[in-house]
Amino acid sequence: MRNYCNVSSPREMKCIIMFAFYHDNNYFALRSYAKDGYFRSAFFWMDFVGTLSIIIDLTWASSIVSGSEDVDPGALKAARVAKLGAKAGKLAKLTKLFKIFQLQTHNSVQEIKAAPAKKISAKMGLLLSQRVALLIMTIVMINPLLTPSITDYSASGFLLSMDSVAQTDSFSAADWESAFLTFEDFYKVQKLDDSNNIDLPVWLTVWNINQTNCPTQSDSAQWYTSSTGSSCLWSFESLKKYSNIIRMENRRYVSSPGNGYYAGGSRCSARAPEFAYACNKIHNIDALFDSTESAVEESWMSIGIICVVIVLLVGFTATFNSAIDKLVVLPISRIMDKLRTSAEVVLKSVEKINPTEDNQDDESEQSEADILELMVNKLARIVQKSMGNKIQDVLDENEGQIDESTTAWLSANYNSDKITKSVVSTPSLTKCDEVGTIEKPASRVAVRDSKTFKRTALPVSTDSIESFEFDILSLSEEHLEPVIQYMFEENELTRTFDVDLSVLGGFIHRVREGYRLEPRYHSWHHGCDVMHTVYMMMKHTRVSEFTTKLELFGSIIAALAHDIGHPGVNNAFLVRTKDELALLHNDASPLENMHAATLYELLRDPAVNILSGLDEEQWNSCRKQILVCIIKTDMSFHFETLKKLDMFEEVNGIFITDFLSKRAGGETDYPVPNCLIDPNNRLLLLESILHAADLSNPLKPKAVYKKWVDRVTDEFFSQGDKEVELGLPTSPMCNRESTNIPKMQMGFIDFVITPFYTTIFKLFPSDLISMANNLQENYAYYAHLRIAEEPKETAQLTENIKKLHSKIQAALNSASIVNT
Amino acid sequence: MQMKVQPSTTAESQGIKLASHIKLASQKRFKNRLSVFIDHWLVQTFLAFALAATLFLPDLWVILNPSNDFDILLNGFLLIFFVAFSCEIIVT
Repeated sequence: MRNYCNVSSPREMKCIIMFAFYHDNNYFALRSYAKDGYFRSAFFWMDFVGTLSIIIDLTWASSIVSGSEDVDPGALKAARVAKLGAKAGKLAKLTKLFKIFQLQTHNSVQEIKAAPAKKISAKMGLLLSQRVALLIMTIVMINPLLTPSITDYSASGFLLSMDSVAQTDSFSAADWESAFLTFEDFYKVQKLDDSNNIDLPVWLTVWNINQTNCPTQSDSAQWYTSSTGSSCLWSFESLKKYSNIIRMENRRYVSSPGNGYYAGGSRCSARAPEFAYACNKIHNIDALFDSTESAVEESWMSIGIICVVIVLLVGFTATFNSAIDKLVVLPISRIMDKLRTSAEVVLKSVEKINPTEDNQDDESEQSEADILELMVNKLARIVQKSMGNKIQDVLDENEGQIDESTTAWLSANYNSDKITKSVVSTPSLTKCDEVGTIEKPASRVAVRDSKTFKRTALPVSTDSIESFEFDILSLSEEHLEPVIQYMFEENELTRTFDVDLSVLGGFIHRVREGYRLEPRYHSWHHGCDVMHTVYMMMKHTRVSEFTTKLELFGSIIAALAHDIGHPGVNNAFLVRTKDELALLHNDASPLENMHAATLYELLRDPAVNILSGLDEEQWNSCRKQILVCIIKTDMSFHFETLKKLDMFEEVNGIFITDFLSKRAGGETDYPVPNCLIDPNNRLLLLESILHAADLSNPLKPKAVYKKWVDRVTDEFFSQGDKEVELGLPTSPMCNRESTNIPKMQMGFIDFVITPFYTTIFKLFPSDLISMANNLQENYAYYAHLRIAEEPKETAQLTENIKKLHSKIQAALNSASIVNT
Repeated sequence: MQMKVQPSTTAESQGIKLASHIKLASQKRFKNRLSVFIDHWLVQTFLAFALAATLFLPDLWVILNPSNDFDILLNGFLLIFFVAFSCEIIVT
């Protein structure tokens, strides 16, 4: 090593080393710029150390290093190996080039046509090879630092020994000859021993020697001597010839200590005492050694290390890759293959989330494994939604915050199973005959002659009607009729289905008549409000992009008449009191069945039959839809509908939001997704919209919402009063004395509205933002009312407000992320 | 008070945007072409050979022990390989 450093490099080599240093620095900068995560990584530091080590190869740097006696040879060795490590860093590239990842061929992989498996294999193989390369290179670089440093003192030892002979006062030519032959024999022994490739001396020169002391050439000895002036040169002909040292850098010159200082000279007098030995010297000695063999040995070692690194890289990577294939890739491949065939729709929706996946190469961050994880997560959510009990989920989600009365209210009104159980457990009522019959609707307005009907002018501007802020309660019953007619005509439904305006007017009037006067909430206003909300939701969510005109027609008819003839008590009351309606419909949604039947009874009159323009098929289809939509407004179906809608959104939501956003963006020919071609799915959406509209009071402006709350609580309390009169236990939320209205409304929003509407928001994120804002405002309003009543609940209620906000925002954002 | 955008300014900004898009697209196409070039099997084979040569040639040179007069050959080869690697890095 020191020999190498002492020799000046050729000019071309200097240029190359400088160029390499510059090149490697650029390599850092470019890699740091081009590759994310490279900067400050292990590979970065590996390259950094390797590049710095090149400095040692520069001749000016090496002369500084070699000029110091304190330099640790081990450190020099480590620096050289660091450079080797930097070279080896490119071996990862070499392994990739040779595509060693494909050395392992598995028939099974080919059999299952697992292209994803190859991607995973290549990705993991690349990552693994990088880490293996890092490990091996680190070992190669650190190993020399851990081994003890060994300095070669053989040459200097030889010089010192010969020098000691030269300093003897009385020495003869025979003494020189003896010493010389001794060393020659020593080196011959070392040379014969293959395990010691040491540098061999070529010649020895003694300066300031008397010619009489210079031995003459011996015929018997294999050495040659010549004397010129005051010097004497001996050649080790038997060991090495000067002419055999071909390369300059293999000629190693050494001198005895103090050479160049002469006794009595000016330089000696100026020197410190430690040079006294040199100044008192009589003779000085130079020698030339041949380091060819040691240099060759070092080169072989270097090649050996590189080969070992390559073999280790290839071997370890291939072995690990094979193990990964068997343990991970093939099972994943089989799973993915199975999923691809059995969950095609889910996979498509996942791919929709990652539209650029196909364009990504093997080095992309998004691997098939990531897709698999997304897919499995999605399937897990679907399984959870399909297997779980929605009402139980709501109760579990709000565990600790829900009191017994709310639980009872949810169970009684929003769970068909619980209702059935309550029916079974209800004791026989002795007064059923007295209360069992609901009065027939009283006629409030004389039936007008539909033939002479003409639509009166709208009582409000169309802008007001076309707004979610529209307050139905601000208009009288009569004034609502032209508003309803406007909404029928706006979608061109009357023209499409050949509905005469007078027939339409008559129909609207008769429906109005069908609503009773007594219920404060389930009144004609409520029917109009729900129809208006359905109309607005369908318009803003662009439902018409994938539904038929007939379906729109059926939806608004169902919405208008969905509570016709409502008596102001709920199904549970009818069942418990053995009402005629409950008996007639076998306790199965008696009210909703009655509403639908009343509607069709009304339509039997040709003067108001707005369905008369439909052919047989259309009529049947429309009837089916109207019946389903009205029946599903029964609150006992709420969680069942929510479950279906939630699962539908999970599987198909991405297609719907994508489709609607494309259509909204002007792509009128963007194809309707398959899920919406299925009429059952469209029916699910339409019945969900009607149900959502039926529950939409908390999503209205606060002033409007408060009016509805007054009405609904009044109706609930009326039912409670009836239950008290009949000696029945008061239904949850119907007790005038114990019911807390803010708490009731917050519970209603928490457990009924939010879960349902978050799913609606996910499906139609950008179109119902005003409703979402109203919901948050109304919740905060009642929360603050509650805080005023119970200040100790402040922290909990504030937290609930934040939770509601985050849920709604998450629903809106989840879809917007997909759209972007 | 609502700020009105001058038509000329709008047109100018649209022009700048368009030019920027064209420039980006051109750069992207150039990058793609370079990427295809660098990934070509002939180029990769040459680079692999160059990598092996830079790893082994200096040591083999010492082992073969030629005269210093022939060092120009070694230096020439190494220089060519360094230029090739530099080009590869720049292109990458």
